[in-house]
Amino acid sequence: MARLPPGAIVGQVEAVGDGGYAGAVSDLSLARRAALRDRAAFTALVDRHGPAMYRYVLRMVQDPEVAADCLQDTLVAAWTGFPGFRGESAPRTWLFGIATRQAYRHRSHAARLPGPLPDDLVESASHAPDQDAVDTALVEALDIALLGLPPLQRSCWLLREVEGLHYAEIADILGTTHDAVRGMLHRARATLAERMKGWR
Amino acid sequence: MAMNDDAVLDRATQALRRHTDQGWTLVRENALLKALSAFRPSAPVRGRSATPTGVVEYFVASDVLVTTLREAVVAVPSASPLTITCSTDDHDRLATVTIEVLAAFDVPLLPLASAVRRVATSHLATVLGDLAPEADAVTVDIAITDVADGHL
Repeated sequence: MARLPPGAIVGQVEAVGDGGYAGAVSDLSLARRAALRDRAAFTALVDRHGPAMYRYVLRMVQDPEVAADCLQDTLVAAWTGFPGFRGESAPRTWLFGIATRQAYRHRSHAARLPGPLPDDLVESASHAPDQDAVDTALVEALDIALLGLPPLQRSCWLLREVEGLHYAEIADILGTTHDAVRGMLHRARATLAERMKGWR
Repeated sequence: MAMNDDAVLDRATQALRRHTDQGWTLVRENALLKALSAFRPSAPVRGRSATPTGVVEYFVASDVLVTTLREAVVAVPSASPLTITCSTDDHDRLATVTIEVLAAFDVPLLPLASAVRRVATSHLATVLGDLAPEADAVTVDIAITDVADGHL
């Protein structure tokens, strides 16, 4: 490749801000702009769904460091993959699909590594002083209960009950059927309810 | 107050939905920077410009061309680019450009399409020089997919 003309932009990395998109622009519009290499749109989309994606992958891989790597790989795959995004699913679903694939990839890699059980799975989140201590303890108890679910059931339950995806979207992400998702959710709910019995 | 099994799980689930892990705030910046600096595979587009030292041929990544086209089209009032598609011939010369645009409500569409086409062809001439396609090779598809009163 020869010289580029003056003004051509290659490999530019801009400051990572919100780009002024705030909440007024739809996910689909942001995704289309990200496909056209609009960094601010991509950043806005990540800020909108990043906390949920991190929450999800952390509970899938059970290790904050692995979750950070997983999320980073998810964002790289999303940024490089957006030109091929055709809007056949909601951008949020598409992102969670990538996050799920990365989580399973990182899980299988981490499983080959020796290490202690993750005592620090539940991080000391930055709670406001007045936040309900019971809710905090419930989240911790739920995180421990989630450890007992098989990965697919955990994916199903988190995507449905916490992230609010539809059965069909979950089936698409996990490469399974609507009925299989329904069955896994039923079993996951029963197991979690049983494991949370100590809480009254 | 005592809760039954389902109520406990429901409340824990609601609490988890509201929960933001501290880890997210720690990884956000680095993860975004890593993503935004990742290489996007992109086909080359040939350009040619006259300089004081002679004619210079060069290549521009199509991803870069699309990015700069988007920036140019965004500057057109009442229009927001939805998709931009470029195709090249066997010699990596830009053959066609198709720009799909979202138009603001109640804006006359033909003048808007002309404005977008004018901006696009001018920009292509700046970037690709002599090898920019003719104006009639720039297709502007206007898509009214939503109504926006203000900011697009």
